[in-house]
Amino acid sequence: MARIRLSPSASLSPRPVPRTALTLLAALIFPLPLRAQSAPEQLPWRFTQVAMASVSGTFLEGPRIATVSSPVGAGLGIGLQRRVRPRLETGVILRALVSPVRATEAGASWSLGSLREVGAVGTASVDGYTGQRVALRLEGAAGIAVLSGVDGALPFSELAVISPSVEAGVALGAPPRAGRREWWFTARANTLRLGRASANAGFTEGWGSRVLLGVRTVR
Amino acid sequence: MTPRLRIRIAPLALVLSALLVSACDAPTVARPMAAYSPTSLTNGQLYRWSSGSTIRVWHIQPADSTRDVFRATQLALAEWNAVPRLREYRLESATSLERANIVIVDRSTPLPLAPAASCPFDPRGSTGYTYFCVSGNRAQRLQSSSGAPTDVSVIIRLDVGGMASQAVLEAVVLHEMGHALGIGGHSPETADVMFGNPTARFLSGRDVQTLQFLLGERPQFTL
Repeated sequence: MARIRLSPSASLSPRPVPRTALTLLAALIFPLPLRAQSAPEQLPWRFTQVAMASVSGTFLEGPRIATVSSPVGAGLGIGLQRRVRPRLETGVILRALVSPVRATEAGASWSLGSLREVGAVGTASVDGYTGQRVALRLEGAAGIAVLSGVDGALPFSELAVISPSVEAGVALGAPPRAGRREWWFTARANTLRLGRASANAGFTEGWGSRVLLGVRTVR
Repeated sequence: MTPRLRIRIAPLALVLSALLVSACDAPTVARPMAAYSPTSLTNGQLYRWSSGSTIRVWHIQPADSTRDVFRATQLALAEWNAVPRLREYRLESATSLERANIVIVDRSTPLPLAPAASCPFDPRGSTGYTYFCVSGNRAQRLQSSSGAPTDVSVIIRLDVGGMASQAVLEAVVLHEMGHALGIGGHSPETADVMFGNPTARFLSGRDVQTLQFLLGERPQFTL
């Protein structure tokens, strides 16, 4: 009969949930008492899809120069998320957005092309309020994006390859119920770090900001 | 945590989001000052193309010349296309005379366009001459010599036969294209393309700076 030998450090208790960077990020963004749980429920990864619109994006401004902005854009994303604490979910979303970009100065506006954005974000979502009919979550995300498609205009023409992004916001939906697909309406403030490809690039680095409105489904 | 306390987290998130956006300044860039006057030939009148314009250039190769006007035009387009930082204009080759905005023609070729009656066409024997006629706050669209309407508002007239070399032709076309884009003045520096007697075949930093300056200025009229 085979016998299993356990090393002194081994344990038969359930493996603790790994503390990912996303969990730490969530704890930093949301100052909530994330109390240690003695036996967190092991829930499976769930598949999530999101359709989103970007609104009021601003990417460049300055004295005596046109403002480069994107009034509206659209995107899709897919990902996985998992509940790692009784009130905390983390996940990863891969997403792609397209935004028409325009330059605007006094009395004139012209197209600079379509900004294409592909990126990945780690997400953290904390239950803020759960009632009978409605639930509210506080959400944060951080990740990276690669921007392309607007090569003839600053800042995109002299942009670093990878742009870090950070966002925070809320999600509103029906309270989750076992076995049912979840639907959430989300609103997040998003900022993209727009860095220079080289030290002599013709702009001062900054953050491109916008609002991301979305509909997310989880099952 | 009580439900009441949880509800208060919503405003916290909204404030956090607002802070995230407002605390993050957008990238900035400033327009340079002009390195030389872009209006010394126009009595202080600043002109340029409307922002975002695609400017189509048509050239006519003189039949009896070995000088390559096409090559000179392409070099000029490439040089001046490198100046805009927010795609304020885009130069490209036209597919026909009627669809062009700028026409480059040698003096040995009959003028394919009728100059405006209110503005005399007066090259005065110069090797390069840029012509447009302003009506109100915009340059007039010229008619073809047969009377058909065109999109042409600027004529660049060359004296190719009087040019000593292809290099001189390229310098002159580059210079006149600077006038056609909005630089209504001459530089005092010989290394600048916009020097009055041009020899430079590549834009200097001062040329770039001067055009970038006027691209951010509100013009008195557009071409």
